[in-house]
Amino acid sequence: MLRSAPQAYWRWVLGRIWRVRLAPFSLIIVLIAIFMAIFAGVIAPDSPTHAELGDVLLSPSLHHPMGTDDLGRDVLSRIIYGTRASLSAGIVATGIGLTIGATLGLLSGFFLGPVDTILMRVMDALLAFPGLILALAITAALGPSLINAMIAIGVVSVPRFARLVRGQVLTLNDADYVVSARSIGARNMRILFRHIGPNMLTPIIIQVSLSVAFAILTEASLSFLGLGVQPPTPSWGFMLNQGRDYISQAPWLAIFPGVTIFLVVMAFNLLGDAVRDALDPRLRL
Amino acid sequence: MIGFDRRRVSRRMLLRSLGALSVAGIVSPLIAACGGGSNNSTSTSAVASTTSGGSTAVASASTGGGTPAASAAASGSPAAVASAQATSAPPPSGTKGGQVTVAQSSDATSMDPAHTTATVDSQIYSSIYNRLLVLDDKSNVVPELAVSWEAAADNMSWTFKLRQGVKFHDGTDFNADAVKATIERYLDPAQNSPRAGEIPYVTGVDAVDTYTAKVNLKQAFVTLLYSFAGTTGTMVSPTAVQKYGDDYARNPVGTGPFVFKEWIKNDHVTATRNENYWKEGLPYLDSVSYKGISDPTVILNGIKANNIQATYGIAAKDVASVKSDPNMQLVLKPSTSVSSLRLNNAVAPFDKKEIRQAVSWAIDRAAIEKALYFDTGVPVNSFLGPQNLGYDKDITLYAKRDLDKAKQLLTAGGQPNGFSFDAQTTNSSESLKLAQAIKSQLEDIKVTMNLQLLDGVTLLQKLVDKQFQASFVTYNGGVEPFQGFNRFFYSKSTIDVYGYNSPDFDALLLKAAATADQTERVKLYQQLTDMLSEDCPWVFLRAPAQTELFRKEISGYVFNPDGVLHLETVSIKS
Repeated sequence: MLRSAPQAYWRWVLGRIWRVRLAPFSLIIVLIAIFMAIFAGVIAPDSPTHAELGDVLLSPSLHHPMGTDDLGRDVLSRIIYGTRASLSAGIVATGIGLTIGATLGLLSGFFLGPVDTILMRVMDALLAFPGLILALAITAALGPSLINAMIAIGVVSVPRFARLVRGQVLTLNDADYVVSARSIGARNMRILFRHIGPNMLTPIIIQVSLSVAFAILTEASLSFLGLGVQPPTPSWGFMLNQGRDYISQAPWLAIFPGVTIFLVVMAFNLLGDAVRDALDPRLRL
Repeated sequence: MIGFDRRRVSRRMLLRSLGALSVAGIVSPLIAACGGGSNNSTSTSAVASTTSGGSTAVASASTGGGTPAASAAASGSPAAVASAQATSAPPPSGTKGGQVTVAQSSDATSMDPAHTTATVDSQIYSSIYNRLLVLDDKSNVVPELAVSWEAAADNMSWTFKLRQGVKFHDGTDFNADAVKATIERYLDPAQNSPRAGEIPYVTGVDAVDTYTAKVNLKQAFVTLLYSFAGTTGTMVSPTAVQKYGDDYARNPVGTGPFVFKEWIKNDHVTATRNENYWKEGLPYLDSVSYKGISDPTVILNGIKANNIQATYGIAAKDVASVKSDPNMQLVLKPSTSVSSLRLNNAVAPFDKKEIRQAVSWAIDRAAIEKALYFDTGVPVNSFLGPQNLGYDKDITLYAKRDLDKAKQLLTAGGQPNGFSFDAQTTNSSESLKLAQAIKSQLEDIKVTMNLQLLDGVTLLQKLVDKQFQASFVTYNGGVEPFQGFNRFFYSKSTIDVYGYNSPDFDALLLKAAATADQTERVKLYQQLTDMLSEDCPWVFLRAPAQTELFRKEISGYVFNPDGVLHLETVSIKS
């Protein structure tokens, strides 16, 4: 009985999200993207990397719905495979940011004192850099590859999570149920993970959704600059850069990856907004 | 002698000379400067692109001692090449007046030929300066400031008869003293000039009389004429050099068709007509301007709008649209450069000739040329392209893709199930295209080529450090291929990065080094290329095109295989 209470809560949350404007639309796009990433090998009509030199720069047709690129590769297939790089970058980078950021935020907010001061000053320093510039610098230092791009983007997202979690801990620390738990002798770990942790899930989920969007966009930017996914592995950002050279002869090379990046990033952003709208007690739907 | 040769092949010299290589796919500085996604590729190409001068810039590396010994050369035929034929009189047609703006990928770097090998600078030099010799459209060396020349019987010196009555723009007489001052300034260690490496065996110049200069060598150097027909033959005014000192690079004084007027840094260089030019009736134009514009689209639009009248290095993808534009005239010729996949012959799997040949047979050069380059360049299967001396058009090896043969060779080489290797390439979009296409073609013989993307400087450094299995590089060796043969494939070359070792090749190369007669030498070059195609130390891929683009109003332009736009005969049709 007790166990079903959170489930009911989340069902209620989903129900509210669904009613936010554009939320179903963004949710569907996100689900399609995840589906494409997982089943790329099955649904992609062609190889994403094999050059067919007889078919270069074909305009969109029934056989190649998004045309072919300068090496005769099917653009649709490359976009489908490119989802893998984008989503994995989004998820892994956010995972890195969340794990490190939340841990630091918890420590900082719970113990306060010098730990808090030092950690937060470091976070401030990181926040002082524009996200993309910092990611560029880190990737340039580590060397160009998808993994390094993920690490870089993860590092960039750390301070956002750290500050968010720290703020939540500070607020929740004074909540009645935490004070009472402490008064009956609950240990720090129990208070952190049993009482404070679950109660700050909502803002974290919102931040995760926004962070994934940021990570996808940043990965595309890094790949555009040649610092992310290494060719011939497809990535949206790199395809966009490649298409730029042919913008007058073969505009589809740049349009389709561009539109894809736009849709997916927007979907994650809208989803984050929807979660926030759905859960914000001050808003009435 | 050898000891002297081995002097200081410092890392810097090496890199500088490597600069003469442009990195695979970088067809021209123009493309390179904008094509790449990263700044690195841009900067490489800036170093990388050298034209006629660059041809021999490589020599500075081979100075390292890899040169066939002097003894061999000394025993060579005491041939004398002379050309008394004066340059044919310019066509008297053409209307005076008008201005031409040439757009190139970046602004000039220096107006002093002693201190740059950049193409953007060589272009401007062709207007302000003259060289001792020039190439004609068939790549023969013809007179310019020198009217005739002759090698000594032992090939240890060359004597040049100079043109009389030529004056520098500042009034200084052009004579043997000027030649001596210019060449010895290039050689002066204090100048640290990249030109020194292009004339490695020159020890000095004697002014025999007012109009006779004798160039002394410490060993036979049969390709000296080609160095002097490149930017290294550029003659500067000794008085101006004295007068301006370090500021000479901003105050150039030559004998050329146009007189330097101004250099607005990061924008343009302008030169106006030399009214006293020694070529009667020339030039036609009032002035020429060289403008640095990094975005090729802006350049093409500029030509459409007639703000720009000439440019060079058009990307293959733009060739078709430019050709069909009635306002433009396109000159499309094979360049002197060749793109290759360079293999490290010293390590497995490319230590086996069969494996190297298998890779070469598996590549469909014609399909690549058509799909990626719209047939602007020429597929090649030898070290030399159609514009190089010694090009052998009859080499049929690898001319047509043969997968069965490739598979047989793989089996013969002990890799029947294919293998995988790492290939380095720059991260510019042009070189990536080529590399990815070849990767796909090699998949058909189960050979997996993993691409390692590097910036240009790192790629060249890895070559020097022998940290590669294969590497995509485009080499512009100029018309005369000797330095290239010597540097890359002579087994005693100091920068022996490729591990090719063939006594037959070495012997033939030594023979070529001592053969001053050009027809004979070209025959030897053909044999050398044949040998290289057979042994396949590199997989030769294509000769990119040399493209030059003019407004339709431009007339009188004469193409030169040195890659430089010579504007003295150009006029504007009204």
